[in-house]
Amino acid sequence: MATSCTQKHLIRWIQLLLKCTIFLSLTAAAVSSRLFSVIRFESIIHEFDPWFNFRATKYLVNNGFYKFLNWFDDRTWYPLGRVTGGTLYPGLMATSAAVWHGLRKIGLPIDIRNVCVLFAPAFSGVTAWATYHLTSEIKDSGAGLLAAAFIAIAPGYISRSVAGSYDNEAIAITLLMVTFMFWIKAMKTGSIMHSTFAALFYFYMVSAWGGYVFITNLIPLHVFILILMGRYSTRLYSAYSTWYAIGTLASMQIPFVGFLPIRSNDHMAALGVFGLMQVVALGSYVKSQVSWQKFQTVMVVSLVFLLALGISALFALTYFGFIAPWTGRFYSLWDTNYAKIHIPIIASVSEHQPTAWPAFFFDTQFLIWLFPAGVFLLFLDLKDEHVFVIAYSVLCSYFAGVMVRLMLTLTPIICVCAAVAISKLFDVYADFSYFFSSSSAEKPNLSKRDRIMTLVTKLTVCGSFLAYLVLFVHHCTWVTSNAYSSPSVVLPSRNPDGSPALIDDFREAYYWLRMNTAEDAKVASWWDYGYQIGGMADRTTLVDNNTWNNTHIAIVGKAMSSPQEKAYDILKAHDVDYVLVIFGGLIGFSGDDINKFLWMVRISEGIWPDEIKERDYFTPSGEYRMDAQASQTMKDSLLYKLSYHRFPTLFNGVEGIDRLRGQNIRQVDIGNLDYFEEVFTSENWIVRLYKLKELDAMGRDLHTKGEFDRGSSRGIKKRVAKKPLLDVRV
Amino acid sequence: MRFTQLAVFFAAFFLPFISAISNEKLSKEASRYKGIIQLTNNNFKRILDSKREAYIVVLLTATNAQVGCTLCMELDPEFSMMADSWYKDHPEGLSESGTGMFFARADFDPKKNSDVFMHFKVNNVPRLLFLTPQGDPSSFSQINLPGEGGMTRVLAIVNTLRDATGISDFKIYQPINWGSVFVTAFATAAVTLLVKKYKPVAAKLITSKYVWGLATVFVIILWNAGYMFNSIRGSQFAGMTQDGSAVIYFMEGQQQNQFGIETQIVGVIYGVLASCVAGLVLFVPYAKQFYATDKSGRPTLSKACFVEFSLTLSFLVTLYLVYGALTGVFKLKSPGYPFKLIKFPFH
Amino acid sequence: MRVVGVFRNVVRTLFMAIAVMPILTLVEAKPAFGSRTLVIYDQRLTELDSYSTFFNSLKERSHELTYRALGNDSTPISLFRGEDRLYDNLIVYPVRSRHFNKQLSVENLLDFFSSGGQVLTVTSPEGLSDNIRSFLNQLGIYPSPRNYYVNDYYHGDENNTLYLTKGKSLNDYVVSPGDYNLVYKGAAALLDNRQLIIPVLQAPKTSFTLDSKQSNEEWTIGSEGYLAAAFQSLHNTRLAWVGSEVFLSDEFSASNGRFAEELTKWTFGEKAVLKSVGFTHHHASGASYLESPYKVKDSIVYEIGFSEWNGSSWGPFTSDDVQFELRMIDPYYRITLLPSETSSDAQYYTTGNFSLPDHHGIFTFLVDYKRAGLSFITEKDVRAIRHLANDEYPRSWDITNSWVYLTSIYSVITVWVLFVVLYLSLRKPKTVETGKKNN
Repeated sequence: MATSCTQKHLIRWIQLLLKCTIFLSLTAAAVSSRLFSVIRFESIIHEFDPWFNFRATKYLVNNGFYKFLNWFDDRTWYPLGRVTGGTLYPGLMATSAAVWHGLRKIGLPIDIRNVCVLFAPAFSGVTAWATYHLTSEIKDSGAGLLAAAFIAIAPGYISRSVAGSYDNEAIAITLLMVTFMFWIKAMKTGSIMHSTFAALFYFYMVSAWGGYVFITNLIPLHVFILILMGRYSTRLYSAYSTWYAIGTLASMQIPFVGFLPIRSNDHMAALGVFGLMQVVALGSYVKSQVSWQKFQTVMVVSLVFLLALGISALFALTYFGFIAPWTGRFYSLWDTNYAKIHIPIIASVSEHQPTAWPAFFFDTQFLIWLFPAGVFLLFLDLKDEHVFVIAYSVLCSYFAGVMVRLMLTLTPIICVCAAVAISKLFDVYADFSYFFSSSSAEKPNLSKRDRIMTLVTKLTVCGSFLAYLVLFVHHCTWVTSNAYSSPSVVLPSRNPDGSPALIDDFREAYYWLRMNTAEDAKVASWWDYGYQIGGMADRTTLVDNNTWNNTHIAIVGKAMSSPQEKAYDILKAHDVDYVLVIFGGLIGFSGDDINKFLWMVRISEGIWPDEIKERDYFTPSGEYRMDAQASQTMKDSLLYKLSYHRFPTLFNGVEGIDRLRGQNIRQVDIGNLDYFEEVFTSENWIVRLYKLKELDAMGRDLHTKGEFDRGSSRGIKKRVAKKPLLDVRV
Repeated sequence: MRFTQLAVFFAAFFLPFISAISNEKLSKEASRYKGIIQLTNNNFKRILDSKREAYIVVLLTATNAQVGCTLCMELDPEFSMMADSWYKDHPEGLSESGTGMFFARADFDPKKNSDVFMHFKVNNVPRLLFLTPQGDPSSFSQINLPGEGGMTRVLAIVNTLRDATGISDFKIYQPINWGSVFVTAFATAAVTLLVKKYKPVAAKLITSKYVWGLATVFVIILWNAGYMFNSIRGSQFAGMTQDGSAVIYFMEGQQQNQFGIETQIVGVIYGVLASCVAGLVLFVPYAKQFYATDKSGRPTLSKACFVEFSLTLSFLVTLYLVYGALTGVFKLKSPGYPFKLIKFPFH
Repeated sequence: MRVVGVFRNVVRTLFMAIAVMPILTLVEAKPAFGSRTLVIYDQRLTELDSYSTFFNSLKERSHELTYRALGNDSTPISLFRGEDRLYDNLIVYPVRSRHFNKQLSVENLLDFFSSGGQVLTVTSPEGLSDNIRSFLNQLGIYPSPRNYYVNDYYHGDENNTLYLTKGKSLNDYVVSPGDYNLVYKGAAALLDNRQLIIPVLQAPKTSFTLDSKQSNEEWTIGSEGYLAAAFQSLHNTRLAWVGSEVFLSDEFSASNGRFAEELTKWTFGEKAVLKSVGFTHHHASGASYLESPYKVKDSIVYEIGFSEWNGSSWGPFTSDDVQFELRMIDPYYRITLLPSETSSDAQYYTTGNFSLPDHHGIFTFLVDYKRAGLSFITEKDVRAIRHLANDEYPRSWDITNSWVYLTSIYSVITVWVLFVVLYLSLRKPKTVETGKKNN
């Protein structure tokens, strides 16, 4: 007895040790695969949004939390400014500031930039841990370990959590998994502690990412389905009521969320289910007290009454404006054409495009076909927590199909389901205990041939799936290193001789801006580059990636689509000093402003339908061209002029070849730039900076001045004095 | 002398009445054609005359199959829908504020209405034109046709018309598709009857995990195979080679884009792969159990082992082949993809 | 380069204001921006001696005159050494010489003018060189071409000389109001509509401008023609044009003298020159923006001081039409400033306490004082006005309307605590009861 006890202890210790080793190596794998970008390029913040988060974090670290919370940012959205403290999700910045302070306390003063760069990889380890626990609750710890391994290296998650991708999603997925883990635990046990933890992590999630609405709807959906299935229990009651009450109250403490939980339709499902829960609780109490027949009538009548009341109240409140209708982004998930017609600014974001099938395979490889198998296998058990996984799977499959960026929320559940499938497979086929069992009594009379056959069966299954797993690892590494490790601030390219090179135009230009312009200079650019200009060049911008004010964005769009004199007036009215355009025609960089131009036109057409018309920017036959056939409106537009200014001089001075669009650009179409002067063009012409010329001190309009300067430089002077055609002086 | 004066006077007095086409006349004309006035060489000068008091929307089209104008065919029912909706609310063709609007159409026929097309100097069809009252018949504006068909286009055109004419009470009534209504009604009735009749079976079906499970898995596979992409983008079902000699099933080298048929192919692949896994987990142990004893209950272990072995092997081989096909297909879409399971003869 | 020029002006002004002032108080008047004056004239057209009154008047006003006669040589006239201006003021007499166009190009003139040099151009029907003409055209002044004389059958004689008995200045800052007896012989100009042009002397209604040699189209008819015009650029450099050479001559100095003197005084910055001595804005409590950034509805004071050059020193400039604007694209406030303190060299204006709008954003504190004839003054400062911080709203108990909610909250809490206490304390008999039931 004593020996078996120590043996058990020993085994437990070994298991623990093994688990720890596995977790350590998982975390190591997760972190190291996310470091490709740092090794390839450098420790740099990626893309667009992370630059804002980084800037906000710096502000938080320098000024403290109180000032951060009440931060009025006068460097963006000039001249409106942005109540940044009240319109961001502070979770990410608060966490990294806490990490930074914590590290300083223990004597590790690390640059805040490095904290931010390495933030996402570090949290991916925590995600793996949370996924392990979640899956353990769903099936067992074996499946948990597999799921943790999958989530650690699945490209779908890596895409948003490589080093330098310092975005809300980096922490949000971790919090999503932790919240769900606690929810499952709470729901299984009815433990108030666990559901309080679920609520607290829900609060953390609310503070970190707008996608918290997903939890707000998924947990009620789970509860609702369980009630429909007749699986109401007091455990469910206490878990959900605790979660909803604490979670909602807590979430209202985030300034950006405020009263949304009781005012917006996104949150009404949770409230409705909370109400339903109370009704069902009452019903089940009544049921235990009165006879079945009476109960049935009471039940039916009250249910119908309540349902009618609830729905009509919802409609009435929405109608009278007490409850905000669905937010645009959220609404566009359901009515997939809504955004395209009504909110071009949402439709213009590439992340909001629907997903083609290769993206699913690319992001999850063989998990994508294990996923349905896993879901089906869960259906056979169909415990309460399995219902949750199934609801999550269905919902997120739909969302991921509609919007590319929501692939991110689908990936964890794919990992969980696939882990369940593989673990079930291994439960059946990786059970070799039979061969090692010592007691012969357990061995039925199997012939040697049968034994070998069984062994071969098991070995082939295990072997082939191990091979698939190895292939998966290779796939993940390849995808991560090839597709998801580019900072997009620095672009990889090749020299003519084939050796790798870097295109560093963005930083070159932003650095130029930082060093050569007045500190309070205002830079107008399309909103995509707002965060980068703010973060890297530290200059005031008109619009940025926080697209809160459509009209303001439309102003920039209008300036870009108008002729230069009109654009000059618009920009001057907003005190703009510099205009920044991205031009990819020289080296074939496809993400340039001309390719985004139609969105500028569309967005400004939405505000000024009389002045800007999308049709005018196409050739008569409806083509989008830049060469001689381009429409006059297109050739006159500011963006055209700024993009192609001086471009033909690189060729023969008459015609330049746009390598991106494969079209010949003529100097006669570009014409002269009288209202703007070129101040900087980066090495590969990707970033071009123009300064608004000052008003002429002599009161001439700048076009006349330009004509005069050109005339005199060519030595042409009017010899004949002719009577000018003037308006009568008033 | 006096006579000519009188004649001139009368002419001056009556000319507007003779040449002008009033709303009543237009309305009469419209009702003669049951809504849309068909323009011909004979009548178009009269109808589009400059002294007219109403707006006229003209569709120049060519629905003849030989012309092969698909857009024209799409546009025709939409145009009729607009006209019908207008006349439904305004049988006289007059809006509440008294502004008249009429619809006219010319379907290209060299014998009957070539002059109409000459008059508007049209080389391309379809063209939707718009004439203002009192305007010169040779001055007209063109209404842009949005690329997206169906109700979207109808609403867009109606919006343009509303803006241009200032008519606010132009509502669109979608004609009820009686066919589909009947089918739906019939199907509902049939299903209700069947459910009523086989209540226990129906109940079993509705509460069955397998039914729900299969349905869920089906939906998940559909969505994961890019179904939403097709429905949002309205992708083409399949492509053609440049010379039109062969059908292309895969949009090669384009990871961000796909044909409709790709979803089906990939969906089937996912389905087969998932069922192989489910088969390995569920069916093989079940079969082994099934063959472990014969009918009389004696153990037949070696048979069970053999069944297990062969079933497993066939599942594994299928899985390998189909998975290999999947990677192959993916390689088509993403040419740089370095991994493959099977060397395909066609690659 | 322009910045350098402005800077130099400022430095020069300061230098003069501080160091040179006491010494020069003896002198009657002095230009605000420098007194190195170059006079360019054509030997064949102009006898300098017949302008001695005019030049003496300039010398009395401490102009250091340099003369440059144009003859047959074609050496370029340099107005700059490197990027530095050699002269502060330029007077150009009518020039007929063909070489002049090459000696002094239009671009040179424009550079001189835009870098802060003041210019007086005198043209005449005999002497209107192309460079001067196109320079003036660029400013929107179109003098009548060669041989075009302004004439008037009512006020003039057969020699194209006009006698304006009641000539009135069109701008009181340039030439002080009053009736002037003027004698004028020369060209008239058309002016375009730009606001920087300040018409000074208008041709009589009955006048017209015609080619004296051949009858052509009239250049001006009636009062559309102008005989003298001034121009002030956005950088406050000034130019005056007079279309008659004899207008300044000794011959008519008795009648034209005062008018000409006032016009040149204005042109060379001896009067109607304003400057801002600086502005401040701060909380009504006295705290500055740096100490506590503005938030919505704060009470703020804006102050600005204006000085005017009185010919020898800077003195206060008093006016009742100075306005302050608080702008965010559009003006939110436009407040007429009230004079507050007066010092020996400046008049200060204040808005008094005013409350910032209830709208956060980045606002421009702007005084844009532009009056035709006076120097333009633009003072702008861009400042953020922040929103209320989370703890700057009134607390719930300060709002009487919320008392009903507070009461309900606290009563619910109390009742719940009571319930728990009662439930726990009355639990025993209940368990007994259920025990009975089970039995």
